[in-house]
Amino acid sequence: MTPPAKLTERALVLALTAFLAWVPPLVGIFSLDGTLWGMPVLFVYFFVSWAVFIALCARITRKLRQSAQQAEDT
Amino acid sequence: MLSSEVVIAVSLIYVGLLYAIAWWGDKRARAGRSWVRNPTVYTLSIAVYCTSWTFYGAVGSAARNGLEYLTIYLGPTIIFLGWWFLLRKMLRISKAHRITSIADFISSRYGKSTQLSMLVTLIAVIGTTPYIALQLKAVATSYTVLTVWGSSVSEPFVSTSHIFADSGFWAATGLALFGILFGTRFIDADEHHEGMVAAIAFESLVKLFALLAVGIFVCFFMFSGLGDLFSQAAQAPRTAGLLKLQPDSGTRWFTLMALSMAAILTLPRQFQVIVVENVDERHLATAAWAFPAYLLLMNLFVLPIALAGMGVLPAWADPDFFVLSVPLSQGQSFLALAAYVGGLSASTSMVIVAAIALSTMVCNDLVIPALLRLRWLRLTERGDLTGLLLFIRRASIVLVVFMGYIYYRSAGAGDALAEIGLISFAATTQFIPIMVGGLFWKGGTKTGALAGLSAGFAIWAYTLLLPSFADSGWIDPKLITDGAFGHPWLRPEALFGLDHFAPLTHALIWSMALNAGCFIVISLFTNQGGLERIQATLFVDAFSRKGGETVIWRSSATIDDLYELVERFLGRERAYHAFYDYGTSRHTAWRGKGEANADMIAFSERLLAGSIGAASARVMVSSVAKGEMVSLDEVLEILEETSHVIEHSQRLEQKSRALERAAAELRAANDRLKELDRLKDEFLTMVSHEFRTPLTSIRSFSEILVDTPDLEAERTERFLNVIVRESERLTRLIDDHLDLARLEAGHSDWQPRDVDPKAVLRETIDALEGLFNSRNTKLRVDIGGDTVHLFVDRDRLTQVFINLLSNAAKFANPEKPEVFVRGATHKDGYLVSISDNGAGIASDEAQLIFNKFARGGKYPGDKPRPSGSGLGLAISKHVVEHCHGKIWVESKPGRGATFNVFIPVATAPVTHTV
Repeated sequence: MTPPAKLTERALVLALTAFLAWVPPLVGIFSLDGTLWGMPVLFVYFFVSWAVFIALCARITRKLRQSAQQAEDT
Repeated sequence: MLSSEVVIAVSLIYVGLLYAIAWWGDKRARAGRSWVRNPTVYTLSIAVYCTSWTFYGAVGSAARNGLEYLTIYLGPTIIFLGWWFLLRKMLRISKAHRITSIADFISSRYGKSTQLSMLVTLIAVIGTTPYIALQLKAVATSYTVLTVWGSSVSEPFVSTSHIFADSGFWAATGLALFGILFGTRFIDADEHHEGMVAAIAFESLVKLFALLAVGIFVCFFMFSGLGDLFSQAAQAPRTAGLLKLQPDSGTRWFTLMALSMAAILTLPRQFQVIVVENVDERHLATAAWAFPAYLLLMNLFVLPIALAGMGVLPAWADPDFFVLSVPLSQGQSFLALAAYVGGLSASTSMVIVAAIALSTMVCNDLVIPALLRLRWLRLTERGDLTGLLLFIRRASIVLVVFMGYIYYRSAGAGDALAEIGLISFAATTQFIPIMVGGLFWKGGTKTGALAGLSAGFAIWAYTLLLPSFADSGWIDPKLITDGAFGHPWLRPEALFGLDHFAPLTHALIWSMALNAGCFIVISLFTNQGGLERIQATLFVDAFSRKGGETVIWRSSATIDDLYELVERFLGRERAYHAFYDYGTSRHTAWRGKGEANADMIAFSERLLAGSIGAASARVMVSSVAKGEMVSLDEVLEILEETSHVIEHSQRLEQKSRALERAAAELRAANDRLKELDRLKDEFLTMVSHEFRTPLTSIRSFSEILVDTPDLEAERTERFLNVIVRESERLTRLIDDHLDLARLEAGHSDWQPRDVDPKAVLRETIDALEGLFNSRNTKLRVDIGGDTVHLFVDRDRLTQVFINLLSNAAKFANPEKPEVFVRGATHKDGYLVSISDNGAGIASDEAQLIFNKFARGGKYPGDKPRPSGSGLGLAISKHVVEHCHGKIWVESKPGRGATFNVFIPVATAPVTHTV
């Protein structure tokens, strides 16, 4: 029933990383003048990191579910 | 600008569509072909998080504070990214315990406490009312913006309009009706509202597409892409600052992030859709990434719309309604109408879910417990109660919605949308310490939870609610500026002098500090009850046990009692099905007068908990199942288990002590063996030496005799005499030796009998008289006293006396030998002292003298070595000790020695063991 500890640890680190990435002072570092692809750097930072975290979460979640499923089947 | 008829018509059609979807969803669900039970619908229903506060308010917030609005959505994203740790646990627990609301969840954790569930419900209702007011205000204001575009919408138009002309009123009525129809159609055991979920999932799609449509229009039709929009915004001084982080926004950023993370867990409506309406735990895995993705899409165009609005609209335009006013300003009435429908769906979905969630709480956790306490109602004895339950729930929905409406009518003109929402968030955030703490810490007690929650809520009310009342003009604003009783330390927005934080951060710091502090400290100083402890373990160890059922009833209820009880709350049909399924799946009787087992009582309690909450279910079940909560056997079993562990550890301790003792004994034995080994070596050396001396003389004299055959007869005779004497000595030595060995080994033959020691002593002296005379020894004898009888071996005793007397004769002063023999009768034995006037024994030799081969005294070189084996004293000591007596020597060098023998009167025959 329990997936490998490494997998759940990855899930935890993902959530913690997201929290640290989205609060000061890290947010302040990206509060820059200028643009990236025509958009403000901070704006790009938030949405790109958001999308990346969602993708990573989907990946980890799939593995978590697979291992939980396997454990239930066997 | 649109005509009000068109707007009203569209609104009605939209609401009609919602009713249809909800009705259809319910119908499908009852037919068993629910399409609501899939992860997409589940995810979309969670999106009820995005209310009109998001739809309209996020743009307003972006126009004021730039990207800060994102915090409200990043917080929930983080919680969902970490779903495996918190949400999954909440879900698992709620399914196992049939949790129906957040109040139920918290009270279940703390021993199904009614007080706690009441307090949580009160806080939830008070905290949600402004939020509902906010939604109604959004509906009313958006209607006004749409129909009277161009007028200032920030004016307090609400209070002047007649109640029936107020779109908010109609919205409230329509929503309450929806809630009643689809939220309380029947009392269900699992609290799933499939029709409602279908409707709000649909609404989530509508609001997402509406906002995306406005965003795409703004970015790609008003401007030529995002780059163009941002570069124009960067040039305008009003908007340039919004593209970067606001100065000094650090603490506020943290506050908002914390609030939103808490809100997704504790808002009653979020708990309803995430936990209560969940039908399959696996759906959460999909929502874990799909819901953040929804939030991302929802927020993508918020900042662009805000920037565009600030660029093209006059300064008086309310940024909270840019979503409507921007398309209107571009002549896009249809798009504005679509946006209005999106806003309407955002508001209505929130009000519907919140109303249903709160009505469940009000009914299960506030009204039913109160009614159960009113004994004169005899609620526990009534027949069918489903009607009553439904009535209470419907009334609660109307109450909740119209409380929101009243708040909006009286205070709606005040704060900006976002601020009201944040006050609500802060109220429900008070649940976090006892909820998350209760999930991971078994030590939290009911008293601690009650204290923490009350303290947090009081601080919230004082620091956030009071100032908002002051803003609305309900109370004297002096209270805010001067503090209660005019004391500056009690200023609500700078409590205890903490005045360098924004009001929201300030309130959160104080309320959380007191809440968590009281909870933890009081928990540490109070004890849990039995049920509390069991529930705490079930909650904290939710994953480590199977099933998670609490079978802790032991009572004398019959099956029919339980059946009738459940029937009263669930209705005839549902009760029948539930019991029928239970009976067939477990192959047990499910009707009849038979006694219900613990499992069945627990099953009934869970069934009831699903419809009236855990705390009330407990009370109801206990009304029929009279008995002990936890059976004595089970308590004993628990005790036994504990005592087993204790006993086991005690045994281990004992064993280890025994082992230590054994090890010490072994060490001692080993030391003794080593010592004995050394003694043996020493003894062998001595024995060989003792044997060697006579042997040497025998051998040398024999050789002389052999080598010189012509030896004169006189010398031959002398030599032969020496040989004979030495042989005798050798024989004696060996005899003594064998004797001692027998004594030491305990093999010697003892024949104890009644003996008069005086007689023995007298006989011995007589026998040795020749020896004394041959040495001219002056012998003094004093054998006085009463006759005493000893139980010893007579021959052995004689042997001891002979040894001592002959020693005395041997060692007495050679010039003027004197020996003094005294016998004294004591009451418990007989003491014999034999003194000589010889050289005496040095004190260091006094002990050694009783060892084998030890010889006392220093012999002048010219004197012959005294005859004797050197074993006499050793043998005497053995004999005396065998008779439980004592032998010792008193001596002063140069003044002779006295050997004392004391033999006690034996109380029992002496055994043969040494």
